[in-house]
Parts: sequence; C-alpha cells; structure tokens
Amino acid sequence: MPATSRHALPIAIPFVLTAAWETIARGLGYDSFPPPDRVLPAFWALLRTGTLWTNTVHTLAVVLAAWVLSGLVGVATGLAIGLVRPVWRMSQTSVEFLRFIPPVALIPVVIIIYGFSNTTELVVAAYAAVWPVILNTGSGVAQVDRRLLEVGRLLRLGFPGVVRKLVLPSALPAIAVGLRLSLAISLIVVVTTEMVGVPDGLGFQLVSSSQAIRYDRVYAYVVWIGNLGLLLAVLALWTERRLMPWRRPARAEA
Amino acid sequence: MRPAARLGLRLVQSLALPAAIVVLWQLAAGAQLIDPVFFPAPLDVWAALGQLAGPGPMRDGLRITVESMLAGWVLAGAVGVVAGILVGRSPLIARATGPTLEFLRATPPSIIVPVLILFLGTGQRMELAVIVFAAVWPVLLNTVHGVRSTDAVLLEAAASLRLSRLATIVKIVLPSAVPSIVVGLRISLAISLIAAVVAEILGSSGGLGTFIVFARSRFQSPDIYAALVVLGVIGYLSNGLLRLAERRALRRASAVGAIGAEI
Repeated sequence: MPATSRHALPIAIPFVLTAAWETIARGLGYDSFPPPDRVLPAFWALLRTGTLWTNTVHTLAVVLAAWVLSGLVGVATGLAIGLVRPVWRMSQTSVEFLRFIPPVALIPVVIIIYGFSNTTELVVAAYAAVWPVILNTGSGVAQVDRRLLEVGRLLRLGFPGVVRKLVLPSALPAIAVGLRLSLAISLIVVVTTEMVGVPDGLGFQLVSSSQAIRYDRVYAYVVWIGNLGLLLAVLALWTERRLMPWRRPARAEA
Repeated sequence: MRPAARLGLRLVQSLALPAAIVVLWQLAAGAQLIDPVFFPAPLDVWAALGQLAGPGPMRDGLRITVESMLAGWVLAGAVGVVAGILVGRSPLIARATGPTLEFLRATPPSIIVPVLILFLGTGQRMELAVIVFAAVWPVLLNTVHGVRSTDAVLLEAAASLRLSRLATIVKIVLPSAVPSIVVGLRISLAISLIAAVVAEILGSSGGLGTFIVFARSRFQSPDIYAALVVLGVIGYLSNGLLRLAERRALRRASAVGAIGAEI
C-alpha cells in the first residue's frame, strides 16, 4: 500500500461517517437527528458562553480526584492482598461479590447519604474505579519473583524497604494497567452520576439539553464527551509507555 | 488435609469477614447507632429479599434484568467475534477502522442513552442497544488478539491444502482463538449487567435498575439494598460459571496445541 493512503485511510473513515451523518440526517429531517452543520454551531455557542468549559472542568476535576483516591486505596489494598496470604484468602469472596455490583445501582443509595453533591460523584466513581487497581496490584505483587524478596532479606532492607525498593517497582507495569483502566471507568461513572441526579458537569448538561429538546446540544455533548474519553485514554497509554519504555511490544518480532 | 476439608476451611475463611461485618451492622442498627434510611438493618434487607419468593415488582425486575443482560451479551458476543475476525485477519480493515473504534470504545455508554431513547424509545430494545455498545469491546479486542496469535505453521498448512478463506477461518483461526474469545466473553458478561442497569436507571426500561429508582423515590432503603445484593449475586454467579467454562476451554486448547505441535 502506498504510504499516503496508509495514513489517509484511518482519518478518512471519520470524515466519511460525518458526511454520511450529514446526508442521512438532512434526508430524514428529524428534529431528533440534526445534521452536523446544526450541531457544530450549537457546539460553538456552548464554547463561547463558557458553559462547555466550566462543566468540562468540573467533570474532569471530579474524575481526577476519584482516580487519585481509587489509586491510593487500590494500591494499598492490592499490596495487602498480594503480600499477605491470609488477607487474600479472607477477602477473595468479598472482592468477587462487591466488584460485580453495578456502580450505577449505588448512585441512588449514595444520593440518599450524601445528597446531590460532588461527594456523591466522588464516592461512586472511586468505588467503581478501585477494583482494577486492587486486582492488578494484587496479581502484580503476587507474581514478584520470590528470589527478589530473598535478596531484600540479605540486604536487610526491612519490610518497608522491600516493598518500596523491590515489590512496587516490579509490580509497576501491572499497577499501571490497573490505573489506566480505572481512569476510563472514573470518567464513565462520573458522567453517569451527573446524568442520574447530581446537577453539575457534562452529564447533567447532556440530560438537561435532552429535556429542553435541544437535540443539537445533545449531540454536541455526546461527541465532546466521547473525545474527552479518547483523549484521556490516549494520554494514559502515552504516559504508561513513556514511563515504562521496556514494556513496549517489540516490533522486530513481526 | 483432605481436599474436602481444605475446601471447607477456605469457605469459612472467605465468609468470615463478610459475616462479621453483617453481624456488626445488625448490632449497630439494633442499637440505633446508624440511620436506618442510610444503612437499613441486614434483617430488614433480608425481609425485603423475601419478595423474590412471590410474584411482584422485584421478581419482574430480576427477570427483565437477567433477560436483557443475557440477550445483549449474546448479541455483543456475535458482533464482537465477527468484527474481531475481520479486524484481526485484515490489516487494511484494522488500519482503516482503528481510530474510529478507539473513539467509540472511549465513549461512555451511558451518554448514548438519551440519543438511543430518541430512536428506540425507553423499552427493552434501547436497553439491548446500550448493552451491545458497552459489552462488545472485550469480545472484539480478545478476538483480534486470538486471531492474530494463530500458529503461523497451521496457517501455512491451510494455505498448502488450498483451504478457502472461510474454511481457514472456521477450521484453523476460530478454534485457536477460542480461549481468548472466552476470556472476552466473561468480561463482557459483567459489563452487560452494568450496562443493563445503566439503561434501566437512565431510561426506566424496567428491571432492577428501575426498581431501585422507584424504591429510592419512596425512601425504601431495604428494597434498594436487597436489589444491590441480588445484582451482586447475579454478577458473582455468572462470572464464576464463565470462569469454569474458561478453564475448560484453556485445557482443551492446550490439548489441541499439543496435537498441533505433533503435526
């Protein structure tokens, strides 16, 4: 394949899809399915008035807070589960049960407790995002080479030293995968919590646009939130590869 | 120690912590240390679970949620496997659709609910669409991975036997991708349950999600907690069942792998 078409093709598909959206939406003429040339002005208007920015900042701030919280709790819990055998045995069933409760189902309970507040968003998102960190840290720590731990004993590092200098670094790739997953989950759950009831942020704007029958705005928010998700995913992957270049899959094999 | 005794000990160990928490919770509720609206007593939640014994909104909710979860999961699995084979076998398709798929995958499934309601209404069809959109990704990605890791020797053998493209996929590629696909299917079943509840809470399409919303509007906390317990049990059981299937698939795959190596 020539080099130009190889790079053009992936970019072409979104353009083709947008063009198809324009054509079909115009042909149908439904209010509920506005073409891109009506969604784009709505997007600009939201951008100019600042609505989009303030709500994006709110949503992202809660996402980051939930991510950091779930990261700290998850790594600590994962360390305990991975290093201490009885803790693993005693918590296994609880973890397997709790992590399958759909986080959205918790939103009504947490709203009863914390009201329609940022705390509600934070708690639900952190609950949802903590599981991949716990599970990946736990399995990463459990797979640390036992000989490495013996080296630590020989060097008299002490328990905190062994964890900090040997266990955490060798479990880092697994922890990074867990943190990457938990960032994606944080965004999903924060936006969903805002849609279900917390009157703030992008999710709330999306639902109230829908209730106000401003479908141009609905589509603008959907595309914008989708792009935010993509941006976070790409950033997380890029950071992971930057920090751990040895984890990059070897191209030479192919 | 005999295996049965060891299993029994494990069970006791793993249930000790939750049992202790439930007992403490019940004692605290009995002594009125915690607000029953926030944290209803476990015995009240147990009583609410009793609704499942007879017909009523909770049992209807359970039926609708499980039905939607399974139907959406099957649809997502079918779409995921077919798309995964296409993307995994054709570098052209992989390259062309890559960024689009990444964008769709990064889109939170809940935000398409308002859009889907416009087209499909608030019923079970909308719920199925949300589930497929959310649960297709693990199957798709794992199928791609499995398809790409097909043994090159087997593919060459297929080529020298002049197997058609379809026959190569059905006889060589798919069987060797099965372990990977099964892992994807297990993850996507858990996501199907979550997506079903998302649709039921945002779109009131029935099911336990809608049951929870109604219970909350009447501050019937025991009902909410009972529904949470039921959802946790559904997730736990379905994941456990598929983990058994996964183990069986892996064992068979390693047997096939051994035969493949002998050829």
